[in-house]
Amino acid sequence: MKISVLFVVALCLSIGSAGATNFLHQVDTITVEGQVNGPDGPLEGVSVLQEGTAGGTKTNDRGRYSIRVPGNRNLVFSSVGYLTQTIPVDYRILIDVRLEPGDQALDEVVVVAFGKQKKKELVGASTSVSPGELKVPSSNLTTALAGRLAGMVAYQRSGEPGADNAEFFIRGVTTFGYKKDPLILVDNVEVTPTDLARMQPDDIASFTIMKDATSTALYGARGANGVILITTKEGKEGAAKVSFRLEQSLSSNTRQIDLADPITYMTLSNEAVLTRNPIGRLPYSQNRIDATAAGVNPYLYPANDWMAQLINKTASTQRANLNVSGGGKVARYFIAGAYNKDNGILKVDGRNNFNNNINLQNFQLRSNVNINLTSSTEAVVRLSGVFDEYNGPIDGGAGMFRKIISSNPVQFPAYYPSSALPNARHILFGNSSESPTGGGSGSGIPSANYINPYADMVKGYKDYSRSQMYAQFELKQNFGFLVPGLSARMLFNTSRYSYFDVSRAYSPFFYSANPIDQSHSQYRLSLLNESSARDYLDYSEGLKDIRTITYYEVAVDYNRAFGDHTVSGLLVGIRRNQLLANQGTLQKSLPYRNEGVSGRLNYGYKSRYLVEFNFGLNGSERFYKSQRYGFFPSAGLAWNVSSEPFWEPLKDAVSELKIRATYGLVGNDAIGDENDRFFYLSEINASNINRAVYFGTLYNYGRDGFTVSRYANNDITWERARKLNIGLDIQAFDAFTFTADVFSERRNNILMTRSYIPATMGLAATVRANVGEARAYGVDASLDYNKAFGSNWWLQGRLNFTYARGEYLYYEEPEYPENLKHLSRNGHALNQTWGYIAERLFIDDYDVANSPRQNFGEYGPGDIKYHDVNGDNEITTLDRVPIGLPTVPEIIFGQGLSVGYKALDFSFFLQGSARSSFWIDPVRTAPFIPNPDLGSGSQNALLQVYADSHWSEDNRDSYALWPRLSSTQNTNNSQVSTWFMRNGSFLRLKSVELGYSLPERALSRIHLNGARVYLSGTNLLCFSGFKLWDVEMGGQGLGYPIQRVFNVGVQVNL
Amino acid sequence: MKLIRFFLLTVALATVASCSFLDVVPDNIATIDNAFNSRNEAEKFLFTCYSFLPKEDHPDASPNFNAGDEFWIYWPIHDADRYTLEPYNIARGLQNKVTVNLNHWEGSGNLVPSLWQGIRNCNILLENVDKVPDLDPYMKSRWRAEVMFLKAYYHWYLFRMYGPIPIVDVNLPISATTDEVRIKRQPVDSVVNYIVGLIDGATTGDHQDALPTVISNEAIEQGRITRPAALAIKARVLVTAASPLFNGNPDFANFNDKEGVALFNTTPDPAKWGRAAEACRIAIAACHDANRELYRFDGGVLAVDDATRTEMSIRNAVCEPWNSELIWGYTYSGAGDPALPSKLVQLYASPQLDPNNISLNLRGQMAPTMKMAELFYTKNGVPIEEDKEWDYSSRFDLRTTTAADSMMQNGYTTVGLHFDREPRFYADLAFDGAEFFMKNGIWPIQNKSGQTSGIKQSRLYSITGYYAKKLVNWNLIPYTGGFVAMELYPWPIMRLADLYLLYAEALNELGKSDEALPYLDRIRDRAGLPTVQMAWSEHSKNPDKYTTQPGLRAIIRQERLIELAFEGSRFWDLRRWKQAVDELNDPIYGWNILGEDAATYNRRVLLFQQRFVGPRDYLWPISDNSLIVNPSLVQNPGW
Repeated sequence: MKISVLFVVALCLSIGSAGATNFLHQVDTITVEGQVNGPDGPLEGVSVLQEGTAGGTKTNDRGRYSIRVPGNRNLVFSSVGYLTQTIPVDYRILIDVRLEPGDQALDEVVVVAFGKQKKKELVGASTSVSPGELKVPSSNLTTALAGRLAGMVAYQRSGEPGADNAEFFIRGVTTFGYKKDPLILVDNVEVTPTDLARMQPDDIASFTIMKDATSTALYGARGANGVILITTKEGKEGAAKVSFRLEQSLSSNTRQIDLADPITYMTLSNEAVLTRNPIGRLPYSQNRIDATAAGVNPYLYPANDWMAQLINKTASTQRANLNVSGGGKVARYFIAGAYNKDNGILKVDGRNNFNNNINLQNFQLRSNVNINLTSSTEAVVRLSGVFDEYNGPIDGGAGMFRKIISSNPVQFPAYYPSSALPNARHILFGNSSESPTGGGSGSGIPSANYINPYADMVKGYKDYSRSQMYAQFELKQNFGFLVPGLSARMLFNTSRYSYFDVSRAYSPFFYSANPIDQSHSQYRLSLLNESSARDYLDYSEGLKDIRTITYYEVAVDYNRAFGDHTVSGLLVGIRRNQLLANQGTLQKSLPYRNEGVSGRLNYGYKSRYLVEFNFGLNGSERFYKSQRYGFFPSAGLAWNVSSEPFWEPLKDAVSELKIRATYGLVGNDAIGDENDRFFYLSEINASNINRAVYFGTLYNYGRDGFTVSRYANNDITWERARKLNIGLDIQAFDAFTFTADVFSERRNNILMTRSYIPATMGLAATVRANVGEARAYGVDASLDYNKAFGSNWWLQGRLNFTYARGEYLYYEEPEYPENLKHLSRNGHALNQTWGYIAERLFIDDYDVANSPRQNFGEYGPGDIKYHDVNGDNEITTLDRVPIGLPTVPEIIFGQGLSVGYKALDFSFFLQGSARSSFWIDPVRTAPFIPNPDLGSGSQNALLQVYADSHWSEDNRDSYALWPRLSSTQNTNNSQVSTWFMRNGSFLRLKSVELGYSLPERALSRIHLNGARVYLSGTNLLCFSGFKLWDVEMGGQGLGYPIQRVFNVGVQVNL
Repeated sequence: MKLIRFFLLTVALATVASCSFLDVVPDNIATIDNAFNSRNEAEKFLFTCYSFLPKEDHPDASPNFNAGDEFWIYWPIHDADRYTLEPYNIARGLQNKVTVNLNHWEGSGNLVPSLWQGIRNCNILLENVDKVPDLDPYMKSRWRAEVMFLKAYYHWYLFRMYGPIPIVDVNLPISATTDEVRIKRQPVDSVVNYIVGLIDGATTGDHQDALPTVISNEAIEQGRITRPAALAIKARVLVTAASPLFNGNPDFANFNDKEGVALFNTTPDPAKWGRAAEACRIAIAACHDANRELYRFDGGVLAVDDATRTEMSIRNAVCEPWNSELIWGYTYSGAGDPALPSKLVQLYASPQLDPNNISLNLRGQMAPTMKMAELFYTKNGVPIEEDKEWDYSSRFDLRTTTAADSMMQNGYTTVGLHFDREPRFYADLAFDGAEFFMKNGIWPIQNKSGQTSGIKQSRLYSITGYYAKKLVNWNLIPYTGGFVAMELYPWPIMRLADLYLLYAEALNELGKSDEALPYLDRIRDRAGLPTVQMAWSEHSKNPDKYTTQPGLRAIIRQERLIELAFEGSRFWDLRRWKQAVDELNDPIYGWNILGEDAATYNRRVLLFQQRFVGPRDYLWPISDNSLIVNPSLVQNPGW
């Protein structure tokens, strides 16, 4: 029966609708009543719910409850400060329960490296988040991370579907080496951030970040940046449980960049030329500006608002998720499928029959099956596949935004009406033969010299296809019959990744219009690119990325209590082999391998005093034989103060108090950069065309030359991190849970370029060594509040706070003399920026002549005046000082509040970020100049704020936002300086959700166990001093904006 | 139980880990040792040593053209119209010690490689060439001599830019200590002696006959170093070392290294001119032995008049591939476009020729300045301001050509400056009203706004109204669709006329003016001019000028600037004569190219006021970064 329901639901999913369906299905639903008591009598506010659902009830002030459930289900009784109980209903109508006091939170079992531990016995620092909290209306899990977990620093720079991964670091950035982000493991297997982004919260059983030495030492040479550990759900014995979730979202840009109108653009474009060169040629004549302003003829005098012409106001997204779990004595299963469809915000031209907007479809399938082969042997098979199918513009979403803000608005219209050339069978795109930077106007040779963003958007489309498949087999054997407490398991995983993309596009026909009458009402089109235009599609193959990973793990576990003493141990061996195709060089084509043995030993006395010792012994193929293996030990102590007899009097107020301390060594073997393999081998390019020479009468006898791209170094090895963590766990007043950790880390052996090698050595590649050192410190804390009031109200709150700062401890650099100490990085934050102190804009020539010479190219009045730090009367690189705060925020915090009343629930989440700086890009926002990413044909738009505030000869505002205009890039003004520095702090209303759980009576009639509809939104409000674009995008504000999402969803359980 | 046994077996297998799991690197991975395992690979290394030769024909990678006052360019330059801005920055007074323009010290990209890397490669080859098993001894000797020369040349190139430089005779190991790598700059005289010693080593003693006198296997070896080339470069080094910039220059009197060692000799030493003259004499003899002689155009099947024959003798002394005058031609400019010699410089120099085949590839953006137009002699072979018969004061007045003005379009109105000039003026320059003689015809150059080569035609144009015809080979033809057929020529790093002029200069400094004059007259004869003696006695307001040492010095210098105009010599000559501070503080002038008729077009327009600060700008700055990394280095004065 269940299966048929499943089938029907799947069918609904496959046809993309979940309309009302008649379920032919019959399970007796009964009303269960009872009394819940604690040691001191009836308990009020105990949550009673049907297992696997959100709907439920609470006990009243006399401890009574009543709930309607199917007779074959389990009931879960839970309350803060008591041990949760799960009781099968078994068609009983009266169930009384006695809850034992206990700490629910500290009694939880939490996931740790290669296993699980009771939270009460935990020594290391780790944070878990309930997967439900990660359910945000987004197809990207990483966007939900910021502020949810104490100890995680995260921020999102782009809102483009498929490219909107947030960047995240555990306890901030603690190295200046290559890999800074954490190791991510799903069911013990390493995955990429994009794999994490695609995870469905519905499939996740636990989401944990591991922060200190004892929790990460087992990962040895790979754990120094912290570890994210995810396990997926497993089936539980019982009838099939089906959960189905459907969401429909509408997204729009959180903030749109304001561009100046075309008339201002033209006027200031002229000013940009004249103000620098009085004999320069003006790009726009006054007649033309007047005609454009008067709207004489939009095809002869176009005025484009590219943003409006290319971008829709909103985009829609659909998500569906289904999972089924259950099982019998022999086997249990959890199978899940998901479908997400994200649409981009670009417009589509109806004259093409292909879609040039972003359409990212994501399919997922997961099947976890546990089989009891014998009473002591369990086999687990986990299969999962994640598949992306993408269709989008050739340039990608961010590329289109870049073109929109880098295209001339007045030189040509997007396209001419087809009536202008009735015989043409293609779109008549506009363009111009003029030169984007003035100079000669090309009356001689017709050519399309500009980027027409509209043509680039609609001329074709790009597909990509990405597949990631995992096949995992795990075998667990309990050896309790030989040695009590002994078990072992082995795991084999293989994953296959493939990606390819293909672009198809035609080469647009570009026309320019010339007037044919005095009144300029008529025009004639002339084709500009006859030789290159095509009205049929061409095709180009893109990147093909194929990789395979195999992973093998064997573990032996021992876990036993002897009276007051508990002992547990773990020994695990791993091996990992990764192969990449299409790597381009021989050395990169060789396998990437790791192997290691790790172990853990725990001892506890009366659960009061806990000791843990861990080690990892890891090897990596990248290093010389003598450097290949590293040993990473760690140890920790914990004291459950509240378990001491002397604590008894305080137990009512503070039910739990635990103090933890750990110290140990962890490594990071991802050093150098992704192209670095085999540091102990030199690498040469034996046919470098840049070192080629040709001789002979006709210059045709040639040889390519040699270059060394790496010098051999046998000593290079991994980074080592020494981590100290001191933590405190408190539970108090039945409702508060508080965890705080302070940490300190010292990272050494960071690979860096030797600083003392002068150019006269003539080396073709840099010489590097493990000499860098960094330190980090900080605190992360969370406070949870969880309380029910009466049987109708409940309230949950959570506060997270992370402060993490990393500093250079030793960065090898030249011996700076006393007056240049400001150049030294040592003691400054990692991600600190060095730049010039901008004093103001130069007032006039006299001011320029009487100021220190600035060595960055031509400058004059209205250009930025920098401060001469070292007093040598010249502004050079030696005048750079640390400016601003690090580019990665040092403080991340989050605050969530959920409140429920009967069937209604409401929650919101505030997220903040502080202590970071970013820089407005002075090149990519500089009006009128070509965008360096796009090259000739592009011409940056004029931001309204620059139009409103810039230095001009009439308005010599020394503190204007933008310096004197220029028709070319002014390298004096584009130096990194305090002029364009901005504060990256913000507080945003990250999400809001309002839910309603349908009454059981109504549900049982249609044979549902639970249903909840909800409205939610993300990124609804943002508070920041910066207004140009969404501040979270930082210096990349001209890209695809972060999206504000409104969402409606329904969750159904049966 | 079966399962348990299986499980134990698997665990056992896994623990018996083969130790070689992490040994993933197969044998025979390419390392630097492979470079000398065979002749074939070693030849690649020899070519690698050559590959660091500065790209002397590249308008954007070399200071030769655009970093001084010979050429000017429209501004701002479109990104697509240049590879780098570096030479233009130098011309515009933007050289600096932060991002040093044309930084051959640290290198900047493939266009401007670090010559220290070139030197390191030379040393590697010298250390290892004996290991090559299948290389004949005579080849080993030749390769060694070539690489010794290249090592000298790279030191020389750095010396010319930076003055006193460190000497890297042997490579330091990668593991060298901080103190070992902090090498010092050596005094000017030591550097010169070191360079000359290396060239002597490559041309005398064991290597007396190592370098060929002439390349015998021309098809595959033309462009490699010959003995005459090595000797000619030695002559140039010694003439430079004897010149005022490096020979007793008081401006650098207090330029010491950190230990107080003077880096410049402040007392002029006339003996240096003797050494230079002797090197010139030997080099000239070697060139004559190798049948090098001043080039004369032979029209072949083409019937040309005398004037054209003279013009083509002048132009093709540069543009005719492998002509009889070429001593050392540069054959390869690096990967990609422009891979081939002279390609880019021809396209940068050439105006639109054919109104029916306008090509964006003909850029004409390298515009000779008006100062260069005034530099050339009158038809009498004396400077325009000295000629008794030439109307200097009316040179900017309009005048219309007649049939007698055979080098210009008939009946065309232009300025007096363009009338009655020497053949090299018409051979080297094109302008509004000039004729452009090409193999496929004579193209009239009309440069007013709206005309064939005028500013309206293309975004690329000459900002001054002049074009360097001299650099454009006469076989260049634009076709429809922008394609340009061209004949490429090896870029002359050294040609015989240059060597003659060096010799004449050295002889005059030694007081041997009578020996110097014949070399000048040979060059003047080829240019269709009377001898110095005749020209000055008959036409100059200063008829005795050539009889005094300073007078003849001025004549030799002007002759040199004219003969080698646009070939990358003036930039360096003005510096070594210490005349840059005079010449490079002048304004840059051009014609009013926006003009549409003769009256408005032929107005002189100020384009830029150059600034040259002496003695600072005589030498390149060393970057701040290099000075910090190596505290043993000292910065050049003024920077």
